[in-house]
Amino acid sequence: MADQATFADQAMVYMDQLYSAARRMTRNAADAEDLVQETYLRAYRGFGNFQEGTNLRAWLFRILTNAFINSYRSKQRKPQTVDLDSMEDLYMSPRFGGDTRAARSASAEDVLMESITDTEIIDALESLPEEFRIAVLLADVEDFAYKEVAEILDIPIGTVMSRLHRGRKALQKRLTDFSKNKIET
Amino acid sequence: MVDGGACMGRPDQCEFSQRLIFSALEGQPTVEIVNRVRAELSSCFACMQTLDARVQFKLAMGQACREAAPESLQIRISESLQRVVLDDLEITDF
Repeated sequence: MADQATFADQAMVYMDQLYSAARRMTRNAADAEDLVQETYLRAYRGFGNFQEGTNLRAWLFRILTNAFINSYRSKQRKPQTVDLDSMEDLYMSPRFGGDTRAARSASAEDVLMESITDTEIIDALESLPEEFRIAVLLADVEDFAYKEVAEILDIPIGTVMSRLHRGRKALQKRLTDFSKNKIET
Repeated sequence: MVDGGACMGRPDQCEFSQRLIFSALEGQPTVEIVNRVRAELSSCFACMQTLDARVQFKLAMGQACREAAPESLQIRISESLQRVVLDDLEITDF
């Protein structure tokens, strides 16, 4: 059992991380601020049930994610999504040397990384369908282990792997499109 | 076994190298982990290149997507927590 009196001391250090994640989930600053505030209030109320010594950061992210899914998702604007089912495999596309050698794929990825901006990375992430976006966000931006992502989202680890695999591919496809557009213009 | 013959220079088609690359991307990639996976992929140049590119990509994602919470939010949350604490005290007093 955790002592509520120590909540602020222990939890406030994660505010930047929670805010960054909330920004990518809600895709706007005002909703992100409300979401983080709601997360802290919920966490404070539930802190008595938090097991001291377990992962506070993961616990806060679980509250954030649940608050987003339950309270904010419904009022979100419809995102510009990537159709993951019809999306071609990035590494099969001619641009990435899919029918020749993967060595060319890798070097194409290097070129891609050099040409994209932070804003394009953010736009690409925010364009992913929500379930993939949150999985990629937790694993690749917040660096949670796959098992922790499964616990935060309360889904089987196999589902996490699948969402990450597809989410990462979709993200790179989106960034390839940005890159292509730059070359064409 | 990962080698040029097994994955045909196509890491995306090689389940073993895919799994290793996936494992290197778990959590915060450390030099130690990436080097260990690189060593396991050393017989396939394309797999190593793909690993390096994916790690770079992950690091770039982290850098691009992190931002500090506005100071006003920190103040707002501190104040709202204090209000909750005061409410709790009042409830306890009854």
